[in-house]
Amino acid sequence: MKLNKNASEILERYLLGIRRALTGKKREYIVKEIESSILDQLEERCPDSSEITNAQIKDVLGEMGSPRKLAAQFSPQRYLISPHFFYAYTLVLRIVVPVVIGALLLSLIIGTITGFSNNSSLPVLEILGKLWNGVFMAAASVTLVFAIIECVSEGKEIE
Amino acid sequence: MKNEKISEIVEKLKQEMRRGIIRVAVMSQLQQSQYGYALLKHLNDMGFDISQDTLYPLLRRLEEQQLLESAWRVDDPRPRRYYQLNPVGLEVFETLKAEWEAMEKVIRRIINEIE
Repeated sequence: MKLNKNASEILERYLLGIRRALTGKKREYIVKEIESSILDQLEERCPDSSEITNAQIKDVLGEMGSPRKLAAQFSPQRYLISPHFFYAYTLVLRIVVPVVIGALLLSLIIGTITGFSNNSSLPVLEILGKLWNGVFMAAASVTLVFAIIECVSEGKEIE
Repeated sequence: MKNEKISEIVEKLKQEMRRGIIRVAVMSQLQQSQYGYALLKHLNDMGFDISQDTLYPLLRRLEEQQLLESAWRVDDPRPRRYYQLNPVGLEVFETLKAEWEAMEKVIRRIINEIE
């Protein structure tokens, strides 16, 4: 088996794609292992001393799949909010969102009745806008807090 | 239900079923020192379908769990990484093997009882 310039370039590009998609100190090692495996497969297809054809190398790399997909198999699954906390997350959201909507509506009603509000008749669109802003901020804050908890605990369960 | 839908469900369940047992299959072959591609071919030849994107990450995980020893061997025509179970790995494998045999027996009994 011999690799000509073209074939080694294809191989290099593939390995570079994997190296880019990996993180951590083990990545050189993983890339070398994959390279060794690809060479083993090429040798199997081309046992004599002839040159590897482009079709052969593309065939092998095609079987290996896209670099990013292959690299992803080496990393543990990561979550913004893992299944450990997901139930708690939905529970908190289900409490927080209605409370925020209720509080906003109440404040709008009181504002209108007492006349403290600067424009006495709030248009529907403005009310909806305020509601959306409030709900969005509340939900985003809850999500952020849970994401931080997830990050700190790294998937370990908190009793 | 449509046939495609059924085969999709079956495929998913099959993968889940295999997920745990793959470890036992791979560990069984690593009682002797072996390199990745030879291991892959051997498992496939024996009728156990396993792809590279499953095998190599699995080897890394077993190594991270300190069940494997591995080293580059340069006396081969090309440097290759060889893997082998260490004493802890061997012990874990023996336990898993016994567990598998017990499980297989129980499942067989349960299935036959219904039939």
